[in-house]
Amino acid sequence: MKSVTLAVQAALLAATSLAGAAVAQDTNLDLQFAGALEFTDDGTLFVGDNYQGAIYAFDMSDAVAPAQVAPVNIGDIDVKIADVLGVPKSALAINDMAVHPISAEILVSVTRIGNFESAPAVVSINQGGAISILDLASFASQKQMLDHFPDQETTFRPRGLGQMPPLVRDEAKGNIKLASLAIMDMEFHGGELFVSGVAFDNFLSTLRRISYPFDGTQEAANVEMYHISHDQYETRAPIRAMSIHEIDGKPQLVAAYTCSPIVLIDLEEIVDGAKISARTLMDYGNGQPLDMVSYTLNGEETLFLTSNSRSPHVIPVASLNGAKAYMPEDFPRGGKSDLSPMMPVGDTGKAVMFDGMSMHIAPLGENLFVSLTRDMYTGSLNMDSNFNGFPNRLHNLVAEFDFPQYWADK
Amino acid sequence: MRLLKESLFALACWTVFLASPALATGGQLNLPITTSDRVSFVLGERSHDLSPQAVLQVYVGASSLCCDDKTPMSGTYGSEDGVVTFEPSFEFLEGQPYTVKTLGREMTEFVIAPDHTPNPPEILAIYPSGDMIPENTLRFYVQFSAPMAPHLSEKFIALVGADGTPDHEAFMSFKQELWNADRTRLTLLMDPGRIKRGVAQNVRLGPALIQTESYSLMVKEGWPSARGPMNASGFEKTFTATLPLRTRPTVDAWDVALPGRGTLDPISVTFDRSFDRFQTLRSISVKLPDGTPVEGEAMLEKSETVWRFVPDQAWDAAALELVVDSRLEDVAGNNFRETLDHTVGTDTPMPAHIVIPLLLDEQ
Repeated sequence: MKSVTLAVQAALLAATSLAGAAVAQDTNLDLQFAGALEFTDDGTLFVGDNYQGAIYAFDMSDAVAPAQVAPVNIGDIDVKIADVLGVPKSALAINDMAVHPISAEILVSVTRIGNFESAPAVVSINQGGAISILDLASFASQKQMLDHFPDQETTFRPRGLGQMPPLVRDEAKGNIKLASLAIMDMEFHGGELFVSGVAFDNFLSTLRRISYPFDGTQEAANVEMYHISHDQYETRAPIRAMSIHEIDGKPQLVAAYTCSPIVLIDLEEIVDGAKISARTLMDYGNGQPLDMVSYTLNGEETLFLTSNSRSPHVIPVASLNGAKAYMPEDFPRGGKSDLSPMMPVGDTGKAVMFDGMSMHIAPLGENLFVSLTRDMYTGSLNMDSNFNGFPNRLHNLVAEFDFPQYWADK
Repeated sequence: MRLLKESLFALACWTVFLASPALATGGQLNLPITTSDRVSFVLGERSHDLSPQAVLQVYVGASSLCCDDKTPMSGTYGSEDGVVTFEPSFEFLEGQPYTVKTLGREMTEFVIAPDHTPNPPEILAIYPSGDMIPENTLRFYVQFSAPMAPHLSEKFIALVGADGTPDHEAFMSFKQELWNADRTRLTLLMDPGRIKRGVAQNVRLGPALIQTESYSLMVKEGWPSARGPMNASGFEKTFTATLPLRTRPTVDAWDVALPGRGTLDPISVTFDRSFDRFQTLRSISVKLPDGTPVEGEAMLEKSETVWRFVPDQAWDAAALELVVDSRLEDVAGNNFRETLDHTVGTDTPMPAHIVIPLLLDEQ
């Protein structure tokens, strides 16, 4: 999830070597929720705690790289993680996944539910496929409380669909706290941690930048964007997934929103108290983004964007240079769903095949993606590692090649 | 409860003797009784060289499903004097089957039974706690010891006059009862229409409480708890109504007793009247002049007429502030800005917080 220009990498190295020395041991490790995960290139792990409104940093830089990064494939990964945590899989919620940049350990943040309590854990899956609970207390750590953390009481307002009344599961949304959106995604760039989510008492979409090692300073700016398919300016729904890249000659944040705009934000605009107007470059229409990972495909810096309801999108970063920023006057008034002849707008990428649904995806070494993939037919959740040019398994696909006669004729 | 479990442990069939003649590695397995217990295994004579993991591993699920292709539970092993212990990273779950594999072959299944013998729910208190309360009292709180089943208050609660006649229209009736988040505290709101003079309910039915008369707030036996079949026993709070409270509270009428610096003695504030218990506990705080709150425990005593605050750490700063939310209400719903029963347009402008400077002396 790192940008790749050489200048930026150099700055990153300088900043992070300093970081390793200055991390202070936090004697009171009171993590209450293990949510969003992010690694620095030298192995510092950030963990977002949405219950406390805090971000933890763990110095995991003391790691050994494998001779070669191997694919890790584990069927029924949720059952196996639950086994290690001592619960059935129904008592496990998976929150995020990240890969250690040196050891290639795969970390999964989870919530373990049981005996009327929930407990956080970060589970590690090593290159040999062994699953264990990461002993977070064994690492030097730092904790940064977030300013303007929203209240812990307000919940979503349930809605049905059009004229249809809400179902039980629609109503259940009314039990979910808006604060669960307070830390959505984190990106480390140039010695700073960028965090998207909602903040302030009125739950505004917010981008924070926090220098690391944490020194108590943090900046928070509100983000507004024109949402083409909804035909409105939106100020609340937060950025779901993001990545930072050199675009039009300066570092910019590429951000994905629900239903499904892609916007650009100049990092220079993210200053404390600012009201940022993001530039809307694309809008696919409906769907909710999950992860945006950055990788190299055919020598080109590329983004792989997953969604809970659309095919993954592969976007060449270079295609965002000079892209048009869309405004309300570019369209007739009214909402535009997928089916509108105007949609998608500004799309410079490609929707690609993905068998099943990726709940979380992350680069594993230079050539692989590791994904927690929900199998369409069995409902099982599997950890699959595949070549990033075609990140699929084929067991559910029946094609000409599956006929023995095809090979006999060869 | 704890005693019961310990005596069970002493008696019980939870110790399993294993004998594997072929290996001559018998031993004694001790299974957990509560969710926080460890699993231990007392090794036989000839098996002391085994690694703790080879002696015992714990798996989620029934023994019939164990344990090919399964990962054992994470936990910490100990080994001393021929006893291997396993403490799971997280507590065991009640009602979940687990299987212990010992010496690589014996499977022993166990389930920690859900604790079905909790104490029945109780009513701990009804507030205001005094036995003399103003006739225009606005709220009563019923404090339970456990989460309770909702939508039953009209069935179980009644305000009864001295002659035994229940008043079925004393409390406001809402679609939704007024519970706290974990449903252990119910708020009963007296119908303000009965309290406010000259409005329809007041004219038609008269006030629910009349000064000098005695009443009982009765909670019938049998209110079920939220989690199970246990019911609460009955509760009765008897009180006498006194003169109505129809003035705004003012901190000028409060008597503040200060502790010495370096002590853990409380700040003690004596009010001129009873305040709403749960509002008071969240509406009064002690702060440093820069706004930093002082951590400590607040409590209410003497029928909610005395507020005491004990700091977590000995008093250090000389200058402190007692900060009072001006929306804080007395038991009759009068706050620092307005009385509950006031003429339209007579609110008194008042800041959101009233600050009382405090100066502590050296001990």
